[in-house]
Amino acid sequence: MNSAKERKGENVEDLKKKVHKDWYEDGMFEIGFGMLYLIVGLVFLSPGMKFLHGSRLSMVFLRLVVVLAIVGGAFWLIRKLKEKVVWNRAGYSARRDYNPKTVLILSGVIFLFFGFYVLSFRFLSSGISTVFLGVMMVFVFIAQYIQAGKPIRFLVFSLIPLLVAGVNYFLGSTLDDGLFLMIYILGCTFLISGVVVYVNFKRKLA
Amino acid sequence: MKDKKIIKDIIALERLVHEPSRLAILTILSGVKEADFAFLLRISGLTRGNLSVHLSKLEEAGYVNVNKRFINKMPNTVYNLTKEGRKAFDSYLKNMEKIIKGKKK
Repeated sequence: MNSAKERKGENVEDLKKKVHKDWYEDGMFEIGFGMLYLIVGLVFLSPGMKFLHGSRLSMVFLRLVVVLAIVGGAFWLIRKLKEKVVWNRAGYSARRDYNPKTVLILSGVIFLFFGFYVLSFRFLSSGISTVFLGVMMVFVFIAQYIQAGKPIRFLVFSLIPLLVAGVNYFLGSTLDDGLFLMIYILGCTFLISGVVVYVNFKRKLA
Repeated sequence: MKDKKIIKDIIALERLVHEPSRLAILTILSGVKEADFAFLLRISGLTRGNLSVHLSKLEEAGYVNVNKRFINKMPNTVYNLTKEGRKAFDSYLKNMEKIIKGKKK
């Protein structure tokens, strides 16, 4: 906990940044997303989903539903985790709602990315398609890195999809294999990072 | 003439917002939708008593809204910035910027 004395010299902008950054400093963001990535990986790999593998287009739409479910579900899960684990000790805060203009721009970018992905899926080989997906995910993680107040670990996360896609390309694996591998590695990395960040956060509070 | 304008801007600064602890509280609340006492305490670094007094003053002025509720049967007091509070905070920052820019010129 920082005292008012330590706060001396902190200007309004610093304090605003600190408030914004604080939302990511308890590790719940990573734990929430990590859990969801692993769940999504399991859903993709479960035998129940095999009937969809016949049609490439249905797989594309299934992925769109999954992406939207991850984005929507992650924030609900993070809020629940914070409620159970963090708020009783560190205090509660709710993030400000995005203004409609930002929501519109973000939705546009997501659909644009997905459109490119669908096109790459149809016209490129599966190896290049995975690399393309990796590059798109790097952009998403870099945007998240800037949004979260530039914590260095977010920059490290952004390298994972690219590395996995590169390895996948050189091994000549299928798009599905590359995607599952990416989701699992991201899920595990997020979970481990989240736990480490939470332990440090708890130590700071003590 | 320019000095007179700067002085006018300085006088226009609102004392209620100008106090450093209250300015810190308003800054924190301006960055969130709502926050409870424990969160404000941790981020501001103020003492319980100090924070409580300043929050009461801001509430009296109508700049901060207070909402008492229960989470898992535990009492929880949540604060958020009112429209007037946000307006006062924004206009304070604008005035301050004007003064600094005027002084630099």
